[in-house]
Amino acid sequence: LAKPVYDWRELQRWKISESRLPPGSQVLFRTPTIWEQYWWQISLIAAVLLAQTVLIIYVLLQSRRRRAAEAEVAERREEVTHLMRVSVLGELSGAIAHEINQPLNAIMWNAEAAMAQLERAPPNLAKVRDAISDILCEDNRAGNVIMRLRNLLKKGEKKFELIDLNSLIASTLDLLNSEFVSRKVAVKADLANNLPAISGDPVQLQQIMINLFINSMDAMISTLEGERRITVGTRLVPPNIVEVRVRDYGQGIGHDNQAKLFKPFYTTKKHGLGLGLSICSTIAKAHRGSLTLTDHADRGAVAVVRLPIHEQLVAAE
Amino acid sequence: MNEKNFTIYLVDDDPGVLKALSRFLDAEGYGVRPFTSAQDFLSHHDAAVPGCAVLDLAMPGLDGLQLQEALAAAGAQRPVIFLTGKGDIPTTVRAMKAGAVDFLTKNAPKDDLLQAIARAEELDVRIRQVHAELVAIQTKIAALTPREREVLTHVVAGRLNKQIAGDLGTAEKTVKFHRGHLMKKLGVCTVADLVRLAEKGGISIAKS
Repeated sequence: LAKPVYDWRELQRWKISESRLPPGSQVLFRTPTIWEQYWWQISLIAAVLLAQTVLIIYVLLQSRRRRAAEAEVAERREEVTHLMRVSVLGELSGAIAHEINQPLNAIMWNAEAAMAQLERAPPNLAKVRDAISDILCEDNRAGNVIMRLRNLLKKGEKKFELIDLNSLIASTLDLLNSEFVSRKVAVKADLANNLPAISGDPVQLQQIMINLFINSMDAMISTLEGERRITVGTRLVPPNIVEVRVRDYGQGIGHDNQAKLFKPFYTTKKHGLGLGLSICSTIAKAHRGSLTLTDHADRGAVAVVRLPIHEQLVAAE
Repeated sequence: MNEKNFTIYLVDDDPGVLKALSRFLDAEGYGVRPFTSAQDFLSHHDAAVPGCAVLDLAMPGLDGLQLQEALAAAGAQRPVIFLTGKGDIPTTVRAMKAGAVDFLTKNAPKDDLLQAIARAEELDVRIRQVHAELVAIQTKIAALTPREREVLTHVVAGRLNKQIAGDLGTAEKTVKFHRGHLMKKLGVCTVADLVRLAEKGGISIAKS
């Protein structure tokens, strides 16, 4: 008995399922399916696609984790920076209290003067008015000191704004004035005119300045009283760098310390933490700038902070 | 305006406080000369003007204590009151030992400051009296002839006319004459007064 033979194409045409054919039928002219024809290619492509997907998901997760870690590091750094700022201000508390007390004393004596003047017969009202107007001024001055302090103590997020380094330095010198006086240090500021603005965080940049001034004062503890000087200067280094130099007439850095200066927890001070310069350097770098500290050829040390001018200003020129 | 004929030299490096204090003292009727630095004060200081100095302790350049020393070194016996932002015991002791009238904080009650100034005023008057007396005695002594001065040193040493005559190699009568003359010139009647005056005038005693 011959086996029935079917043409597969006809079966397709008349929509006859192969399961309905009698058993043992032979189907000829069968066109192989795509799977039968390319099964290994398809498998390969599918495998590659799968592997790729897995890889992409992995990379995405990794980068998200890294970003989270970086954010945490930045936050920690921010916290340490803030802590150092608070600790430095703590050391300066006496001087700062004095800086607030001065205007308060002035207010008190102006008020007493106005009272005493009013008790005279006849009172000189112009003098009373002068006293009261000075009370307003001095009140403003005390308020400014407190505002500066609050800014320095506040744990705000970093905010970049346009900064005039000259006025930042002037305000830092004001804040430290009584410290300079009580440590018998004469300060000379040599600030360049028309200094272009830079972009940065005013609080952190002021932190650099405070740290550098304190370092300079600490370096001059064994300097003779009349010779304790700090000179601070600003200048434009063409084309686009603003430079601040702080020079003291102290003991200098010394060759041995030079290499370790910016290492965290390295200090030569009795009560130092060894974080000041390392944090200052980090801040300078975060501003795309640099901080260097070298011995002066003559005597003492020079700290140089270099910061780039605000970009839009560069473009405008 | 200086109703009290008493000038207060005020030195404080803080212009705000300086202005306020001078305004107050002015309203209280004192003459005020304000200075923002010790150097400035020293170059304008006139020891002949009755008054006192009110000095800030912490100042750049010369501080209050150094200024007090500089004043004393220049021979000016100016009563000094210290005003300070933050006083500590060692500086207070140093200032008082150097003869400060008082040591006050800058936010001291005004009555404390006024009382201190009143004490400084008394002290200044006394210093001036002593000084005037001294000057008077010195001019009197300067008016003596060399011989009379020589006799004076011997008289003050408690020596008798006879002894003096022996030492100076003159007659007792001459010594007596000089002695009478110098006592008249110095305006004293007794030897006791003469000794007191000579002591104030810084006359050294002749050695026998």
